[in-house]
Amino acid sequence: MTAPLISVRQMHKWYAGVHALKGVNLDVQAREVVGLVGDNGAGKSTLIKILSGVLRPDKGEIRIEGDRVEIASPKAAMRLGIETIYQDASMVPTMSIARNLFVGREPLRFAVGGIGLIDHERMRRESMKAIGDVDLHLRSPDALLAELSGGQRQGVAIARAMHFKSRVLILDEPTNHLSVKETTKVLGFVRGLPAQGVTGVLISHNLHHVFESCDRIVAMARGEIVFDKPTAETTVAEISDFL
Amino acid sequence: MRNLFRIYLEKPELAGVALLILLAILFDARSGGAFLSADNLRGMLGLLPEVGLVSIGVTILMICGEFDLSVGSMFALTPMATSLLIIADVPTFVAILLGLLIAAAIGFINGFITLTFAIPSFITTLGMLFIVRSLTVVISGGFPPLLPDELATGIFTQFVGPGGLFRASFVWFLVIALAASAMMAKSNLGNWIRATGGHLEAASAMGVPARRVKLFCFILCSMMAGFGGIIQVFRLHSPLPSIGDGLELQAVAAAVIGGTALSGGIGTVLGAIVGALLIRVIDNGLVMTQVDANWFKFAVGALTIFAVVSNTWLRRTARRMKVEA
Amino acid sequence: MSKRRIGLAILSGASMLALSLAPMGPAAADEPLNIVFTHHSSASNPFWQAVKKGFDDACAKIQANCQMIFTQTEGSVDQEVANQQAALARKPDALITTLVDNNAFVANLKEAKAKGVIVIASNVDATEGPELALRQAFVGQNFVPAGTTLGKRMAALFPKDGPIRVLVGVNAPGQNWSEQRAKGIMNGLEEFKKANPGREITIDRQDVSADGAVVTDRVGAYISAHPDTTAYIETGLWHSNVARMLKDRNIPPGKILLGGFDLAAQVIEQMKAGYIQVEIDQQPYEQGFLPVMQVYLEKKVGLAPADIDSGEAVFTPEQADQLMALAKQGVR
Repeated sequence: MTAPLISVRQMHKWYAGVHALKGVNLDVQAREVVGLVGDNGAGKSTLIKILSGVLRPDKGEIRIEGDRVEIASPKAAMRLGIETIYQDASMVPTMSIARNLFVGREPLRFAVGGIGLIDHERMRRESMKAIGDVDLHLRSPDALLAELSGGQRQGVAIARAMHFKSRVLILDEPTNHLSVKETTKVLGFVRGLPAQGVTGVLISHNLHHVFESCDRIVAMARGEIVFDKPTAETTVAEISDFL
Repeated sequence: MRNLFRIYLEKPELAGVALLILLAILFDARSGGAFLSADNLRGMLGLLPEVGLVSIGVTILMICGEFDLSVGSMFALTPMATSLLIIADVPTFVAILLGLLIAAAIGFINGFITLTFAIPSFITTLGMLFIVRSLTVVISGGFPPLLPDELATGIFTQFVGPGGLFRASFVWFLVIALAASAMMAKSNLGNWIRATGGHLEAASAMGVPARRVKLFCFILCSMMAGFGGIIQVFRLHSPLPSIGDGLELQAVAAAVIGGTALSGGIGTVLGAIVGALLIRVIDNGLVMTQVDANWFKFAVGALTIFAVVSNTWLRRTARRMKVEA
Repeated sequence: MSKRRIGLAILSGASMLALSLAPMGPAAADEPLNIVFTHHSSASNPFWQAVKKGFDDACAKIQANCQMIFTQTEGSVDQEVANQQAALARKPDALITTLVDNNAFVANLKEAKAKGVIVIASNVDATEGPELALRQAFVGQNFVPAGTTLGKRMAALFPKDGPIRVLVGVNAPGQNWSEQRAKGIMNGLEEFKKANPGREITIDRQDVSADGAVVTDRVGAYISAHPDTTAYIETGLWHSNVARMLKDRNIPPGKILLGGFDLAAQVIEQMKAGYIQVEIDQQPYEQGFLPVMQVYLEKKVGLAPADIDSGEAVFTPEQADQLMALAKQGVR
């Protein structure tokens, strides 16, 4: 059996005086979709922020494909192929779609020490391709993000993650502010990740959503993992009992 | 209508340009043609670079999500330092560079304190406004130092171009404005500045070095203000410790009138210039049409409020319109 | 004094001659004169209201088209320069202006000369440099002698024995008028010091600013630190604010002597109350009125403008009532 794609061992994190993660152990296999559930304050967001490089753990280790890694910053996480989509889509509403897609990783025509001129042509072209790839139909990559609906913005976030060939796509409560139709679309997309060679971690309050789209369900409460079973072997009722 | 909104949303400064043209026509008519006369234009174009540079610096910093209220004091300290160096026989060019270096240092301090202690830049720079102004008067010893007659002020004051309308300072201003505009629109740094101001968490999450970006903007803002001050002092041939008093609020007003959002993420260099020009035009126009000059502050205040209200309303309305393919 | 009398005599004689010879009011072919007055003060300074009245009255008499341009910020030289530029773009017949800086106005004055605009300095003159040659005359107070007079008159009121402590308040460090008056005051006080060897005499000089509230704060702090202060002499008119502060602190009038320049209504009020002992007036009405007349004479009769010392008139509390009446007319 090959090493899991992501392996977290004995992870501890304290912040604001709270013991947010208490010795968490978790494995995520390649090409599976894991649903992470639990109430507010259970530690889901904290765990996810550590994997995406926004926070550093106080204790514990992370292994990617068996190798020990330090995820020191969001850029480091992205270099490891971990892309994260946050609740508010981690997008800048005042910028265009194209600029949002490539923020922090703009294609440059000419650069000195990391600063250079953006290759606008390439950016537009690749933006159109990226949003087309996730089946999103928008008129122009120069439209401002603020003009899009919540679901469309999530679509753009997903397009971004897919474009940069992530190995792992973490989605933190992506359907919170979406309509029913948009939610269905997003969940369908999450379900289809393994087929595209991507591993998914979906965090959600909504057990039904998780059941619909995930292969495995992991539940957290008070900083610890309290439940970890394949979807096929459990029911919504059973999990709610644990929480 | 929808397209008009879209255009406005992307280029709010165009409304400013329209107002500018309107006022120019109005003032010219009421002053019997004197407003748009070569003499008057020459005067206004001589002043614009000084205020314009400060407005551009403040605007870029506001786009990045921060404020600098100490620009007025920087406008005075930098040329004062430069003048004292020149009088101490430091070569002019070196003295200017050192003055700008001092400006950069203060900009860095502004940013460092704001970011390290997580206090609003409004407060940091408000304190710096007083500190720097005081330093300016202290180093001048109370008396404005006497600049040597042979000082090569021509690099800024020399008239160039057709009709003797433009001073060299205008050329400097144009070059810097174009460079700043290119940076904002065409470079990845410009994208980072916009992202940092538009949504700091999102920018950081996507790997934008937000702290460094903000420090850069603070330094740039201070240096622009300092350079504007140097140009003014070279023109007046007198490094007065009191110049730039109240300039910070005019610069913020100019930024806002030109379409910059107080919350960050939105604004352009062209908008800054349009805003600064509008304020100059109103000041000059009131004098030319012999209206009581005390209406100037009223006009600038009213225009600022009007600009912010209309910009905000239009943005909200545009947001409610969803654009789909 | 006598130079002033002669100057005024010539001026009045010439004006009467010109007014009697010239037809009353502009002839059909005459265009009204356009005169602009620029200075470095904002509308919040009461001194300039008296100047404006003189200016407006004179303009009304010769039926000229007149504009006085104030600055937005008190004491702003760059705003005055900008206002001058705008004014010159309208090609006026004459520019009356203060010259608070020796260099900042050179470019504008050169332009005025090239355009044949008459330039007369009023209220504050340049102390040296190219601007002196670019203006035709100065109407105003000679600051150093005025300051010396103030210093001497105040010293005459000091107690006959015991230590003396004087605070000299400079309102605008770096500006001609304030620095020179301060210099004069110091000269007057130095004379007192020389005449009184062996007495402990402390003379302090401070930047007190040109804002009433700030002056009150700073002088108040000094007096708290040195309750034995004999006198406060300043280069402007904000000692009237200091007087009110002394009253608030229940310090009786005359305990700390106050003296300064210009006769705004607040100053006269405090003179009446006994807080201010000596006041030097520069007759702002004249500074607005006479330059206009000089312009008229040059244009109509070809008389070259001449320097006029508008005075170092000394006023003491006995004249307060009379001054009050004149102040109400806005003339003083």
